[in-house]
Amino acid sequence: MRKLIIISAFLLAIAFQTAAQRGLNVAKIFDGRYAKLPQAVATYVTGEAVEKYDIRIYRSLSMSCDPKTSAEVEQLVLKDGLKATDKETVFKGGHLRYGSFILPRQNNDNRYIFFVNKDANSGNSRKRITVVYMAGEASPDKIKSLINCEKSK
Amino acid sequence: MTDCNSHNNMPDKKRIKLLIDRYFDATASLEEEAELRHAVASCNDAEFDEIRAVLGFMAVKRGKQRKINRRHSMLTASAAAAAVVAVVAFIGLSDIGSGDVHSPGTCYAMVNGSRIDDEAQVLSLMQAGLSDICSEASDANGYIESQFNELCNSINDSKQ
Repeated sequence: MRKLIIISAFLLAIAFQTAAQRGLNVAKIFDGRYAKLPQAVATYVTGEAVEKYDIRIYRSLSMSCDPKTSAEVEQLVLKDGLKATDKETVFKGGHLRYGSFILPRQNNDNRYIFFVNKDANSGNSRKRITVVYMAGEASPDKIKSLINCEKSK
Repeated sequence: MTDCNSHNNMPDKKRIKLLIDRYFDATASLEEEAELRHAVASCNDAEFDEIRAVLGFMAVKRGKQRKINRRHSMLTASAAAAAVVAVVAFIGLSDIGSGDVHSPGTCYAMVNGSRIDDEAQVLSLMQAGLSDICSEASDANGYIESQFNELCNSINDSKQ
C-alpha cells in the first residue's frame, strides 16, 4: 500500500513539474483580463508573418493603465524572469522600467520576454506598459536585430 | 473433530481414500477437492494427517497468492490511474503558445475590445510594440555603458 502511494505521488509530481515548466505567468497577461481593458492593444501572430524571423509565436500587449495594474503585470513578468537564463533589467523608482529575459529552451524553442514601462518613475497616474513574448528558433542576436530592424523601419 | 465413520453425514474412509487418490492423480474435480477438504477437516483420523497437511499448505499458498494478485492488480490499477492523471495534466495545462500548434498562421489583434484580422494592421501594431522595446533597450545599454564608464573613472581616480 505504501509503495502504491509512493509511486502515485511520484508520477503526479512529475506531471505537475512538467506542466509548471510549460506554463508561464505572462500567459495570464495575454489571456487574462488585461487584454480586455480599455486602451489595451494585444497582438497574436503565428505563421508566415513571423516565420521569416524564425519565430513561431509572437504575442504582445500594450496599454495605458493605473499603477496597480501596472504593478501586477510587472510582478507577473518578474516571476517568469526568475527562471531566465539571461536578463537585462533597469529599475527606476522601485519599478521595472525595462526588462529583457531569455527563458530556458522548451520544445526546441528559444523563449523571450520583454517588458517596458515608460512611466516607471514618473508621477503620471497612467502607466504606459508593453509586454512582448516571442518563442521560436531565433537566436538572441536575431531577436536583437529584429527589434532594431523594426525600429529603423 | 470426529471420527470419520461415526457420523452419518461424514464421508467414509473409503470415499476419502478415493478422493485422495483422485487428488494426487490430478483427476479430482473442484467439487471433489472441496469434498475432500471438508472431509479431512472434520475428521481427526491420524491416517489422513498427511493429506490434511498438504491441503492446509495449499490453502495457505492459495490465500497468499490471492493476496499477492490483489495487491498486484491494485498496484497496476493505481499506477495506470496515476499515469493517466500525469498525461492529462501534461496535456491539459497548456503553456502560452501551445494552442497555436493546432492553428497555424494566426494573425490578429484586439484593440479596445475589437478584433482586427487585417494582417497589415496587425503587423503595424507588432512593429510599434517592438519599437517601444528597441528604444528602451538602447537606453538600457546607455545606462550600463555610462555606469561602466563611471566605474572605470573611479578606479582610475583612485590609482592616481
